[in-house]
Amino acid sequence: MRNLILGLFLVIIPSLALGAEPRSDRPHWSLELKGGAFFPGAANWSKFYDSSYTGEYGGALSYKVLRQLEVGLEGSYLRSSGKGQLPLHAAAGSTVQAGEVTYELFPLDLFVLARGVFSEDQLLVPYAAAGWSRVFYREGVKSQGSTRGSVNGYHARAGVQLLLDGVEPETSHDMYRDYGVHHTYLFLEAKYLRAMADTVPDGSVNIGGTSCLAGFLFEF
Amino acid sequence: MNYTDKGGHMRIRCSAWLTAVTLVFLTISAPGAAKGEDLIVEHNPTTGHFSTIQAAIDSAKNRLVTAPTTSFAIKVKADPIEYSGTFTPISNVPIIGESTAGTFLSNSGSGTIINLNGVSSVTIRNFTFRSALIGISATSSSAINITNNVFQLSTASTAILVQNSTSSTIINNTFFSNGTAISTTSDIIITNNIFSTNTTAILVQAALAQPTYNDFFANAANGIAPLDAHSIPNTLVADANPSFVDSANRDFHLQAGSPCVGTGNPQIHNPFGSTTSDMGAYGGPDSDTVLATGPATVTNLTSSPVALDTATMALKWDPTADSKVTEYRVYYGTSSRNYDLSGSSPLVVPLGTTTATLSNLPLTPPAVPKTPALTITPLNQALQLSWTPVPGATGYRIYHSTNSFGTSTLPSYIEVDGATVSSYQITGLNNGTHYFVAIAAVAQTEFFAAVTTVIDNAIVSAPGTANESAYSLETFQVVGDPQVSDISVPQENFPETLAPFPNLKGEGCFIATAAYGFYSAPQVQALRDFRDRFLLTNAPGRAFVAWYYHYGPRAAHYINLHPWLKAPVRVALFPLVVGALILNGSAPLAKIAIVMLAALLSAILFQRKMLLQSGGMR
Repeated sequence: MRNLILGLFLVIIPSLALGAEPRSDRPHWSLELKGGAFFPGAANWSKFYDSSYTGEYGGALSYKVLRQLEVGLEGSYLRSSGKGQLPLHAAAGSTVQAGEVTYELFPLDLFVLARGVFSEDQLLVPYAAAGWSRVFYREGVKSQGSTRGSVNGYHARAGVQLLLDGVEPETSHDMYRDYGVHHTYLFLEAKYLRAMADTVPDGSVNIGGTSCLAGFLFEF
Repeated sequence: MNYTDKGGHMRIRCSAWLTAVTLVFLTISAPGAAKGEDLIVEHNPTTGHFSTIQAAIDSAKNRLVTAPTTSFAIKVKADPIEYSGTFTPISNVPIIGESTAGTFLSNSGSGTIINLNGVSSVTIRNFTFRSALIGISATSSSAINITNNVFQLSTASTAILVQNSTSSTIINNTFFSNGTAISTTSDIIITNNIFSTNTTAILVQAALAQPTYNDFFANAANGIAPLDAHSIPNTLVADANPSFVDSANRDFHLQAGSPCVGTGNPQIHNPFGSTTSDMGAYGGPDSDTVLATGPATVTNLTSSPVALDTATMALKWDPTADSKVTEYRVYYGTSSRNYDLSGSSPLVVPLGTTTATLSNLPLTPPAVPKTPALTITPLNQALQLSWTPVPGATGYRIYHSTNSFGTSTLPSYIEVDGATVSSYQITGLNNGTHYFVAIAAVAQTEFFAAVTTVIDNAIVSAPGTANESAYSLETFQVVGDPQVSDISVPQENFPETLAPFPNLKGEGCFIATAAYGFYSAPQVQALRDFRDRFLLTNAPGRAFVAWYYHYGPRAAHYINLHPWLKAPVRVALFPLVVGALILNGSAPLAKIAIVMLAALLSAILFQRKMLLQSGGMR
């Protein structure tokens, strides 16, 4: 345990950040661009979409209220193609996958994010966020039209950011000089989204799920 | 030099390598090793090529001074634009066109095109000569070889003028509508030529060995008489018309059936048939090589059965445009691309006929195939059928009906051809209607056929060679009585509107969706259409929709929680649904009439109610 604490301490102390150049001011905004896999929470998903996950792509913009506290807005897009179901056959106990279906989600998240950053040169920065979500959905059946709607929900995510400034100090300097980007991070995160939507003819389903994402974060 | 020095070792090693390389270079470039080089002539020359034939001749002449053992050949690229002027070849340098039909020489209607004077061993080959007073003039020369040329100058011209030039040959040329085709003062070899519609074919001004194997047609004077026994006309062939493909358009290829096909000098063979010899510019070993790859393949081959239960197959194809083709061969058998050559296959079909009927095909009834196992997947207004192909089956029959059926009460069927086909979709069905479906396998004798074109019918079957085209695309036909398996056990299923997973509610009519059970119900669809056409197209309508989208889900949720409400809600929605259906589907005038009628009815009912309240009579 003591070794673990020591290790964590070592990675967050500023002296380990390789060659990062100190900036005269601190950043106020951060922009995330990310992608990864989304594992839907709905049971039987893989029966209709031939996979237990689908791709997710998104971005987030947040304002740094404090150096350790941000509020922001995140948007994502998920799409999957698969087969449809036959409700009357399903009601009779026969599960049939047929036709061609496209399923799209557009989660829009309003979040508060806390970062464990204690120095501008800190190599690894843990963070966590949570907030309200409005999930827009669209389902299309080939030759039959589409259905769309939106529901409320919530989300939580956590991950770790790796400061890249020390890897390419010259590039980092140029990014700051040309674009005002203070720091660039590579990050990994896990996200949980829950949004219950009514289903036909009755009942409801969580159209959210769990995501594993990676991306770049730019502070400016 | 310090031999122990490492750098010195390197220098010695490099020096040895240089010496070896130099020796090899000197060896391969040593005098005495003759080599050949083509000098290319084209109208827009690339680097190293020449724009005129004379420039290439001059280049060869200059270079032979310093490299006398080099054998040059002048190759003239085919081009629709003529190469014009007078050329004076030099000894030992042949001048060869890329193709007789595509390489043209002229001299503006006057003068001589090729002037050979005091030269030897010159070949002039594969040109079409036009528009000059003299095509080729050979004077005091020897071993001049003129082959595979077309001469069509003018009625005042001389195609070839030979003076005091021995050991020369004029072989496989076509002379058409010239003044004099050949005028010679020397004894030269003249064979395999066609002289057609010239004023004088051969003007002999000295002793000349008998020209042999030439065709003389419609010349004002042949110039020599009598003709040799192998020239045309002769005692066997009276009609000497060479049957050019299209002489008016300068296509001097021979049509099938021409007396000049296969009747040339047997010592001079065509490139596309080792035993045949044609007269004219497109015969002999150096004729245009376009035929070396074989004649064109047959296109659009189709087949049809003469009668379903007979062993007969009718074939039809497009006629070939290849003038060299003399016949078609029809290959057939019971195995694809593996035709039976032992019996009557291939069937020979003469040129001009593009159909063939294969009758009395050997029918061996196939075994009755096994019954396939059928799988049905319901779709929207359709049923998707799939099965595992049965060995020996050549097709399948699909039976379907809204009534149950058995072997003795079979409904009409859909015929699906193909041994490997394993799926079929029955479309145009009604959602919710139950259908009974069964399948049976069919086995029938199959015959496959393909057709080739043939140049020389004396050569045995060899598709894909210079004499015979490759097989056409294959066609096949089932013949004879079919053997049908038992039907599979009829399965019952019904088509249905598809829903995505998860089947989420949309921003449609939430209440109607909850009441009617599913989003795609026709009543819900009618209300959606009404929304799209009559509400979302105006501001008040959009405001209502927005209000409804805010509160509608709550009502729908309440209905879902209390299913007993669905029936009364459906009753309440009924007038709206009917109204929506009428407005969605009727003409504008009808809509106005309906609205006015509804208003009138409401007014009458209101007045009647008021009357009752005031104590009036009903």
